[in-house]
Amino acid sequence: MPPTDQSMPPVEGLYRQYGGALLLFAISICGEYGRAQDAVHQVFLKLMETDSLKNALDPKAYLFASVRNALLNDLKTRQRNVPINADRLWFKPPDRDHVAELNLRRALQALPEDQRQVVVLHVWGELTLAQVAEILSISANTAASRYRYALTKLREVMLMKESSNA
Amino acid sequence: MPEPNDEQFEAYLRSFHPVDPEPLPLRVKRHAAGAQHRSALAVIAVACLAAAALAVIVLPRNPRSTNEPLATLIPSDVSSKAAKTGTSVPALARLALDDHAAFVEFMADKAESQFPQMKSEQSALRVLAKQQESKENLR
Repeated sequence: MPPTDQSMPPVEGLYRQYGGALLLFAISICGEYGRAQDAVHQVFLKLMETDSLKNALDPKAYLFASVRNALLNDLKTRQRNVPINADRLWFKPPDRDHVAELNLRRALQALPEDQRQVVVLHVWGELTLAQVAEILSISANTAASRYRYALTKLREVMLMKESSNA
Repeated sequence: MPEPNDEQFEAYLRSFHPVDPEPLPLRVKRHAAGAQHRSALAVIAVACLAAAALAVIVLPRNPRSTNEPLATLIPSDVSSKAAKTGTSVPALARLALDDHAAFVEFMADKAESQFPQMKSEQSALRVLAKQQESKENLR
């Protein structure tokens, strides 16, 4: 994660620090890059207007929960589920290994949505499973079990993809 | 990809960094506002230049007080020469505003020197009037 620039306003600093993980989390929910980005922007612009972040006990968890709520509200109004669009990169791959990036993206897409959200929040959002449970309004045990299942499936799918590519 | 071990696998997953989102639209707005500000300043500058150019054209070039009557500003020999050759509209307007009597006198002189004599027998009006009178008599 890039460090927060002290000279920047707090909200913009948070955007720089967590923007990538929040965007990934939003994509994992709605499946569309454009809508995901709109949701992240919407949350931050609202934060700038209302300054509601200062009342949050856990600002980082608050941000992820806000993005999720924004997307769920949007989904309610649209009344439809959109399949995940795999056209755009989700990650900056290590060593420019774009094949590995594609494998990871496809493996994440293959996960059920609830497991995908848990793994994104824990691995890339760097949130504890307790925080993940709080954000998703589930118990800590459920979050932990979803995470284990997700990790197992991810590994299986990625190994399968790697062997098929080899 | 590392072999099955949750911590190693997690570390491998974390080596992929999420792409950064595009900048907040607020920055775009700020740029747009800055561009609008610059455009407004440019328009104001052009308007000021136009006003200055107009002032240079319209206002008299003599820097002396504008309260002074035009007649005193123009030397007598020059004004008499102007009376013979004709005077510009702005100078006449100034003269009319500053000294109405002098303006009337000046215009009367001009009329006498430049327009046909209305009172003589060869006056165009008299000729026309006579023609009209003769036509009516014939009827």
